[in-house]
Amino acid sequence: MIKFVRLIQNENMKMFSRVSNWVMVGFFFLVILFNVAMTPADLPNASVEDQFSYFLSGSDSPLLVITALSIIWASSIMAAEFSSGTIKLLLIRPVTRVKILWSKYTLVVLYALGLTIIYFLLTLLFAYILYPGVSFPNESITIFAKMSGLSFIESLFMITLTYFLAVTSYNRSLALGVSLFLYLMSSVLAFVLQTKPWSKYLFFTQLNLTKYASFDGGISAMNTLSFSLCVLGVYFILFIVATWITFASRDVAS
Amino acid sequence: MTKQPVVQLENISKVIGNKTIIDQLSFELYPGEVVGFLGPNGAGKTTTIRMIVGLMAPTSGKILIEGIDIDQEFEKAIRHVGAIVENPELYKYMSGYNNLVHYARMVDGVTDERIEEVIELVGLQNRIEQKVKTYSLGMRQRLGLAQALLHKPRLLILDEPTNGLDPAGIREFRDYLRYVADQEGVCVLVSSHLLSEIELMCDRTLIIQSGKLIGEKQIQVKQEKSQGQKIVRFEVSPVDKAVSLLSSTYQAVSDGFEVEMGREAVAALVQKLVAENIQIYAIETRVKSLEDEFLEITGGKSVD
Repeated sequence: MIKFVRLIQNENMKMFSRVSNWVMVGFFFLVILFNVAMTPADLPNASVEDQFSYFLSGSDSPLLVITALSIIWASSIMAAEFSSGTIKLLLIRPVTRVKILWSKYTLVVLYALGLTIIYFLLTLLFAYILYPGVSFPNESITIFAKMSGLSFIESLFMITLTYFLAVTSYNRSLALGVSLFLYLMSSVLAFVLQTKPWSKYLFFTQLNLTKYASFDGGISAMNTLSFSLCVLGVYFILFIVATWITFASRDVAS
Repeated sequence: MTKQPVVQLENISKVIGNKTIIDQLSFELYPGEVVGFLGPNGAGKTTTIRMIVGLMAPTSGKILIEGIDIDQEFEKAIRHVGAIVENPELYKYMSGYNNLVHYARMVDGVTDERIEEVIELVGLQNRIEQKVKTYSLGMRQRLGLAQALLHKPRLLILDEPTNGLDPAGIREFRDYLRYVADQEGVCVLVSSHLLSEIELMCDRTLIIQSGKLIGEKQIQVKQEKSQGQKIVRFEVSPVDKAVSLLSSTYQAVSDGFEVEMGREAVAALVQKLVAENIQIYAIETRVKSLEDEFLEITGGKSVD
């Protein structure tokens, strides 16, 4: 276990030694600030509570950035070791491959979690700066917390999918392209396929979880948060097992 | 030798598709010896090394390191191995020091003092805090060696180790390998295509071709060699007459012939030639180099 923590520490050191990561994190903060700057100063005929609530529910764009950054990392964290050849020195240590595989995955998940928490706290802070005097806690904060949490589950699923694609194909562009496409187009695909009854069992039609933040029930009984989570859960396990099996048995000949 | 071998390969085979890359390969390496691993391109050197370090799984056969089966107890077995597989690929965007910290974290018991010790050993003290992308190839080789030695391995595997080192660096490197082999009893396996280099630093060579071990040779200390058989080149005229006097097999060269013979035999042959009134212009002896033997054993064949 201590060794696993040290492996994550290693991955963390590598991640934050890269300039590209700082650029991405910087971009993330920029989007949060942009979001605040775009808020209308004063809405006529609206109470402070309403404006507060409106601000929180309207600041979801950084969540999209978090998922996108997680997808980028999930696609490159293993593939980069292969393309630079460093995988050869990494796998000849007294550490099983399985541990190396999951330490990288865990770091990307922690990365998404960390950014989500930072986003949640920062946005809340800005909300209180912009609209002081709103009671704490209140209902809009609960919904906002739910939205952030569900968005993290989306990120977690996308990380798993991307990591699976990247590790099995060794092709980071493919993993990145397919994942980003499915993620960004999921609502469109769900809409196009809505007449087909089987489409609700496809994971990419169930990717939009944040819509459940403000209401629990769906249009039908088969379209609830628990149903979506079940569908995603099955695919999640499938991807994890497939990633595991592929990586544990593969010859490294690059 | 009664010592316990550091590495044992037992009937290792590797089949990829329907092509047999390694065919029933077996050998043992012992503590304190520097072993050269030779073979033409495509003979299976790199595949063999990759199997010993666990990057590839053999199709059949067993690999034991310090008596531990690498397939059964990977972590315990690989603990004793340090290696550079092909080029030393390091994290270019990190400093040399962080690269070492990275590998040190992956093995239990590598202290900060040990890291400093290894840095000093490979002579990188002044540049260790700089990013690896600013390093020259020779410096990367040194850092590669440092990461291989961090955890005091019993087996050191080096693939083309002197690639990119300057002559002084190669000399230093050779001395260092001898030091770890003689003083610390480390077993060193060096794969290289520079035969003269292997000859200078190894005690023994293994030659493989088409995935099979086809030659094994102890490299003797220089003095011993001079007492043994040497190749002697005679430049004489007339050649035909001289050759007819030879009792052993010979090889014709321009203006003469070459024979393999001992010291005393040379004197005897010279007397014989003089007695027959044959003109002798030159007698040269040369030690049979590893290159000659390598070509002899492998038949100078190309990749198949």
